[in-house]
Amino acid sequence: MQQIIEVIRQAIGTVPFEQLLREFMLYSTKQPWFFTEFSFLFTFGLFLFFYAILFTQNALRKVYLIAFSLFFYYKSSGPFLGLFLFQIIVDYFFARKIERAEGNAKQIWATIAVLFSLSFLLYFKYPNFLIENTNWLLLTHFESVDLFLPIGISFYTFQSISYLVDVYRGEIRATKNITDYAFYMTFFPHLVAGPIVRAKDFLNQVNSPESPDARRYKESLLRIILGLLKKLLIADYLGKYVDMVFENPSFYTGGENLLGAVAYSFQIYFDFSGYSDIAIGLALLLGYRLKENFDHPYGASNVTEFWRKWHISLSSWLRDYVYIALGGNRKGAFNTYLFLLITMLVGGFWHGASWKFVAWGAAHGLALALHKVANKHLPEGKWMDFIGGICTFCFVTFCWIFFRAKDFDSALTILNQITYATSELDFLGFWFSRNELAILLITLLVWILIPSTWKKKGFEWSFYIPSFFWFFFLLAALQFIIQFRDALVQPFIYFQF
Amino acid sequence: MKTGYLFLASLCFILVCSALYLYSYIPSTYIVGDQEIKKLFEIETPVQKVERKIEVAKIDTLPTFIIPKDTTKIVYSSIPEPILPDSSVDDSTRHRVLLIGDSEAGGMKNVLNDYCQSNGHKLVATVEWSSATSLNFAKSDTISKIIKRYRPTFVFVLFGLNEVLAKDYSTRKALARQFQKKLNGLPYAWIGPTNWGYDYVVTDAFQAAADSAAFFPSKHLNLPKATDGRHPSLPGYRIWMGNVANWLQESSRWKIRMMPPERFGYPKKYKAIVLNAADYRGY
Repeated sequence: MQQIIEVIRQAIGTVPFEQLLREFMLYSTKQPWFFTEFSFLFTFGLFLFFYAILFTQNALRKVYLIAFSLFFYYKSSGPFLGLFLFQIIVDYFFARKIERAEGNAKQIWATIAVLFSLSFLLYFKYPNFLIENTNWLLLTHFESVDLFLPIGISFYTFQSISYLVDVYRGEIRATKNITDYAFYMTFFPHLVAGPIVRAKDFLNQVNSPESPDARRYKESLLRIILGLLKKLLIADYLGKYVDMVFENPSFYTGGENLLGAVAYSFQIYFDFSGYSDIAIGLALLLGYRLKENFDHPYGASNVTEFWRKWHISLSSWLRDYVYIALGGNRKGAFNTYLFLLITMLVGGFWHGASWKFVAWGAAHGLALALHKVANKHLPEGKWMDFIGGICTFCFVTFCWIFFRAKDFDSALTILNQITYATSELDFLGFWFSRNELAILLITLLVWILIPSTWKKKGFEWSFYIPSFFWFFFLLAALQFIIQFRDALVQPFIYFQF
Repeated sequence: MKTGYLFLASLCFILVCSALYLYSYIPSTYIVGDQEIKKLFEIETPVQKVERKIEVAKIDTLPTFIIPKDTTKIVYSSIPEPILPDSSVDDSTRHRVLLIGDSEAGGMKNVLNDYCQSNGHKLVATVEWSSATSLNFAKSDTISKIIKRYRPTFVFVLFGLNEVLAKDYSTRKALARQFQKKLNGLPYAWIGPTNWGYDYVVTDAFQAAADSAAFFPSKHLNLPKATDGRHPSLPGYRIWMGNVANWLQESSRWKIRMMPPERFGYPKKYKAIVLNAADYRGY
């Protein structure tokens, strides 16, 4: 025992506390702070300790959480913190103005407010797309601009718009307290990569967080642990192979390209759902419940169901603020299909300023419209659901090729390789040369087939484990991650959007 | 108490992360079964100085290095087109890579780090022993200690620049062979020094000492020089590594995956050990 204490004492003596603190306080573009950083998890533990002390004092607790959220954003985006704060303040006053105005003035204020909110996103995300296409169309030679996209701007812009529109529609009251609005916008679990939280779902929770109990404590730790494992072990492992294939698709056989596309389907799911799990788990510990963002999407039996289960916060946002705003299904069959297509094009364009995202959105929009047309004529039953599930997975994987490829040409090369250069020997070769990856892919495919109710039951059982043991689960999970993770942790895929 | 579970969760995160951080600062590594309990990160520890002196045979003093006067007509090599890995290369193998060498290894380390990380390998440590010759590498037990400490599965060897003008073939070969034995059967890639046209025996001596197809002679490459006129410039190291990578994938004795990196400038997570033969001879 004395030996152990001596080793620990010596180890503490070698820790360069001053240097660590200095590095910690600075923002680095090379190492933005995100949930998978161990320094974040440690800081979160410290933050939580004082949060527990302040938990019953509403005003202090809110200010304390906002301050931590702003620090979190500073560590992720540095100087863009100022821009973010400016947007929050202006949005707050716009919402108050919209609420007080009447008739046409209300509409004008709402339009100005939404355009103002959108302007930052448009400025940072789309100018190069505009320049490139203008040059191509008009044979001009405008030079592209070098802009750094503030992390999370696509997410918080949509949150801001949902608040302004909901106030305009009269679905919620504009909040009188600016700290409540700042709390909603800055709440760090959803700040940089969603889920996109609606004001009407969250603002009423701001002043009344649920007090933590044993169940909530275990559920949140389970979500955080699962999220870390999903991201750092599964998604990052798959990512290595995906990066290789998508970088030079013509170097690989058709079979390898096909499996690269399948691997990407799983990578993006485990990456983003892992992030969402961590976000939901962190929020839960703090006393707030965020809506689920994924509900076993690859088990969907058709593309409409897929979009009810994939990135739910975005798809429901697009439904409420684009599809329904355009007219939804109230303006005839043809218009319904057209609105679906437009909605998905907006969704594609939201992901990135590139034609490949537009193509991805268009493919999904057409599929949704087609499913709406054919749905009434399709037979029903378990076998149809099963076959539909396979077709949906294949279609979604096909679309992901456009989403992930470097550019449009590269996506076509992959499709070309899959169509013309695939043989059964590719799969045999894959099995022998990348045995671990092949086993992982098969396991994940089987995982899809397991009914979601079984998985939920499995999670429920884990809550019977005494609270004290969860300390060891967390320790084991983190050491397991250190043991098997990649040397280079890749940022979350959705950080780039 | 209403917030009891919040305190419990807070302690969970603080204690678990502290334990993992602290373990990284403990000098020893623990092993369970065959598995090393990995650390969150590796901290730099200075290499222990070897006190024991070994008597060695006297060799010629090395003449001063001569810088060519006119470099304007030199046609430099360029980064070669990547060659696909040979079918025997197992893509899933992730090596723990160690780089050993003189100041040229110091220039190569970041480029190698990019290649390693991009191909799924881990550059665990680099030993940059400035001004060192095969004498230092062969006669000291520094390298053995470093290999024992970092347990690499693949070693890159790159030295010889400080002895390109040596003419004692048999001594160099004997020293190189002695060094090669210190690798203890580990797969390795021995890269010959750049010579700028002044190589007398070193490349041949090293090639003779190394296992067949384990040595990459660099004297055919014409690399852009750094301003010191002695070492390659950064583009020079990249061109060099591009050639080495192709050789590694296509015709080396121990083939490993070394496709061009997706980008340059990966985070430097390896332990960089810097020595200078002027004040640390190693024996």
